[in-house]
Amino acid sequence: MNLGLQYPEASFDFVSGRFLAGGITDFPATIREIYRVLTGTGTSWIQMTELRPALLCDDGSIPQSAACMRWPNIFFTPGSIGNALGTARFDEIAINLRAQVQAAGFVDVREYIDRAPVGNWNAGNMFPESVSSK
Amino acid sequence: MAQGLLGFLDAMRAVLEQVYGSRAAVDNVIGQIRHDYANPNYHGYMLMYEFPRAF
Repeated sequence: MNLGLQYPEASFDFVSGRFLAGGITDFPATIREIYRVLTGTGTSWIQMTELRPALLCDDGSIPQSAACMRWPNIFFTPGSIGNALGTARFDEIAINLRAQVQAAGFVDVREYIDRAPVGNWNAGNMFPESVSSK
Repeated sequence: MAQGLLGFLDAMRAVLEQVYGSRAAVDNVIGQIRHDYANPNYHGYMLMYEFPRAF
């Protein structure tokens, strides 16, 4: 992906990418490449999914001191060892993806932000609604 | 999701040893994290950004 997509223009109706933050070094360039290989307005789609790495908890069930809450800071916080590993940028990749998709020329961009459970859901809240969509 | 994160941590053991000082300390931390993820009283989540359609 980082060397460009080895396909001619207008090769595909649909391109999907999931959790590629660890492999792509230049997301805007990759999205522009995806735009190039799609067939065109009204006939093709891109689908991208990325995670924000922080563990969140709405009901106070996980103390901030828990190991599962603390370890993401080692890799995903700017200024951490994650700077050298490239993992500190994972959070901003998810946040900036919408703008990058739009900047590449895509239209009708729809963003959905969902909760991805880590471990167990609260039994009374098994399928919470999306955090947002726009 | 938890399995994927534990796999990431396992792959990063060398880095974690720099942070925690020893292999035994890393084993202990990863054990705590595994225990946390399996705790039925813990309800954590990550935010997943999706762009299901465009163009």
